[in-house]
Amino acid sequence: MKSLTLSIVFILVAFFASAQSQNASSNQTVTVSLTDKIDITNITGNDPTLTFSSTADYASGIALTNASSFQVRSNKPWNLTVKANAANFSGPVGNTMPASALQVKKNGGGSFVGLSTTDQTLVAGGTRGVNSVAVDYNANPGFNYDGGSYTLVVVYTATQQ
Amino acid sequence: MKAFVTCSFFLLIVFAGNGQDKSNKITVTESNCSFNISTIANLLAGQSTANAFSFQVLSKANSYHVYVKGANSTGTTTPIPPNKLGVQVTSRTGAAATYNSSKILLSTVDQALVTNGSSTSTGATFSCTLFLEPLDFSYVPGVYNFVVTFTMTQP
Repeated sequence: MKSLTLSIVFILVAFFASAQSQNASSNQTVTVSLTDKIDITNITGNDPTLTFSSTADYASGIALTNASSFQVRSNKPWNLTVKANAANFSGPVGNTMPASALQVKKNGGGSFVGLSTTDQTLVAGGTRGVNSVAVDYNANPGFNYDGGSYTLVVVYTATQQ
Repeated sequence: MKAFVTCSFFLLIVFAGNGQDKSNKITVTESNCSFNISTIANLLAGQSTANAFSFQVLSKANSYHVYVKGANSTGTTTPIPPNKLGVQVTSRTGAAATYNSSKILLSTVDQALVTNGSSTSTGATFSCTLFLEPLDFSYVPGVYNFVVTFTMTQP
């Protein structure tokens, strides 16, 4: 009888062992490669115009806040610089208005800087992600130029650090 | 008594052999499990690769399940969470099984891909589409590696 009991135990142990669930797993590696990416978009939609209509305007100059807004999208920290694409405005014949007659600064911070054909920093160390930057203009040509339309192309450049 | 002992030994061999028959195997075969994000459009839009990989299940037990889970990426200082990856089972060949045909965004917790698979010694193979959700500009450029784990269980 003792031997019979022992045998039954053996059988039960073997059966339960076979009935246990079993797991199997396998791994898969997925690789994602991200390259450096940045872009800048003028989200204002139109070009700003500063209109001088009184002698007070000529005497003091005209400021235009939030004249333009830009969206900078970057996956690394970035800098934003500004320059004029020409040394002088395009305007009436015989009038040479320098680019420095137009000043620019980041809205909400910094001081106005006169434009030139050399890049000047507006934002240093912008954060990764999607960012908006608004700029203010100040024009003060004085009484030195004939009436008419003067235009200048202003170039904004976003660069990853 | 001697006859009984012999009989018991025989039963042990039979049951032990049955346990080995229920052993499981799941094998993942990769076709294309890499995403190269080289344009801003790629960053802003989700990516997908049809038939990126398949997994084959061998099971002599009925009602097996297959689960999938992921983990944070490695390879850079700022990891990408696993829920930026998705898996969708798109087709099955071989033994019958119920599979979730919806896109599953991965997490660190197992999620069911296949339920109530029928036993098969010749295998059931499931083809999958791999998804990468939009990453926007939130992650440092670099190479990110994710480990995706497929686990089969028997009831």
